[in-house]
Amino acid sequence: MQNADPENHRPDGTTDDDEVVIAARDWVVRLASKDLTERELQAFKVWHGASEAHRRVFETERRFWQRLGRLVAEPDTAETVPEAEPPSPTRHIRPMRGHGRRPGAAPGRRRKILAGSLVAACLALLVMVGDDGLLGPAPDHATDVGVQRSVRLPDGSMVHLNTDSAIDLTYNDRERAVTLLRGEAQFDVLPDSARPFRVAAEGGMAEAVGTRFIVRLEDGSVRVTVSEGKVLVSSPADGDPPRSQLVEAGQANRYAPGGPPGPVEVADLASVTAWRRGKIRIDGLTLERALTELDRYLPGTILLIAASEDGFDAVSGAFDIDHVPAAVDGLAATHGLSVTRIAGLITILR
Amino acid sequence: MSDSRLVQAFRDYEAELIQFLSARLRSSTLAQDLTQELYLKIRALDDGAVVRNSRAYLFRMASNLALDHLRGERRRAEILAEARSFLGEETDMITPEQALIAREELARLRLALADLPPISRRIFRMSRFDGLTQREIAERVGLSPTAVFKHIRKVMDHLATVRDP
Repeated sequence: MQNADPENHRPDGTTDDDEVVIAARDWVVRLASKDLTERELQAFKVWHGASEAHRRVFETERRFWQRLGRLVAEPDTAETVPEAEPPSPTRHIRPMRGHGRRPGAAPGRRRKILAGSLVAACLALLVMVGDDGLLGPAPDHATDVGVQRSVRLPDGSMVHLNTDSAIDLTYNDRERAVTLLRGEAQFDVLPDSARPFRVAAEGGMAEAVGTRFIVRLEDGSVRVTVSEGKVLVSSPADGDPPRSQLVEAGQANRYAPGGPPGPVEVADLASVTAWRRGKIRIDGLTLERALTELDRYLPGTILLIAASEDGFDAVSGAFDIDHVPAAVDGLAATHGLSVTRIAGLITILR
Repeated sequence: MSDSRLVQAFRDYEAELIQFLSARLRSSTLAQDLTQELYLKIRALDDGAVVRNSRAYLFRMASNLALDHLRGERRRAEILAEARSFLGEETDMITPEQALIAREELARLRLALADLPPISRRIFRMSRFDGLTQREIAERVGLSPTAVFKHIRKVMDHLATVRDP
């Protein structure tokens, strides 16, 4: 029996349901594709779990797909036409991302405390799934969560992108300019005295001639760590001309957007560069900070719902970037916490 | 570049590594692919990485790659099984009543299918009945996986206009 779809005929004439139908058909076709990815499956579960309406419409479309299986007996003359034609434009141009356009517009009430987090996780996921379009033009080079990549730049310098990171390039005969849009990157810069190498982040800049350094966007501020050579870090102080700070090998520096560079610190190079060797090194951080660090390499969110924040021991250790969930389990176990995972997206420690 | 020591070690042990991976994965093609992946990995390593025992290091990396691969295969099978169960592939029994009602619907669906461009029908058929993945279909018809997806979606939208409510 097929259900009529009452929401298609709502008296107020809203069209939310059209979007749900489109999304449900998208999901049916992807679920039937036989090459569904882990991420898509997780996104589907979040979507499917998000509302009664989603489940009802999906059920209608799923049954329809099953009935289509009975068209098989019909011979089809199409087999003799191998020629491909350009696909005609349809209204859902970006199939797997289309239903991300208004993720907050899902009908229905907020049901539980977790609802907010679910929506947040859903948003985060869709941002990751969508590789362009949602956030303006695609960056020149980017990595997904949990992925690292090395890119050779036009001048031969190398950039190594850590998890969930993105850069844009502006190369001309006066400068080699890189903008760090998100995440963290290590730059191995080839010397070129005619064209300084500049990394812009949050209105500030790190400039090098020939050196190796890491720039990371973290909690709204920018951290520059130098492993070889020297880097000049500049950032404007409240509209004043930019102030600069020279940072040498083994040192680090931090600035907030619109603020001047802070004092030079001694860098913990082993920890800061660990990701380049596939490790996450944590040295005496609070449990919460340590989880935040691990969270960078996981899709979704880690929530710490703990009784006594001050009761936890500081965390130290080296973890495998390829096995972050196991690291979270290990941390939880040593702190007497239990781990709950929801749809592979939200990890709760309590 | 100090990472060339690892690369050198890799060349020394390459045959052994392939043999090792073949035994683990029971496929020499796969073993060669993963050995190549291993090579790319050590080439990309930070030259600051200090490796005391190159041979042990290479074999541990190879072992990890094999493990990841097997885990990935298992996970893929699980994902497929989950997708199938969401689609209700095992449980969708057709009752005689449904079959009777569906006969008229089926006739309408067939007519509607005939309206569609041959390439769309062909792609739909390959996906719905021939058990090909959308990626495989894409390779066969020379389109992108996204284009294949769109064709199937277009067929579905069109057929939905004549289906039973």
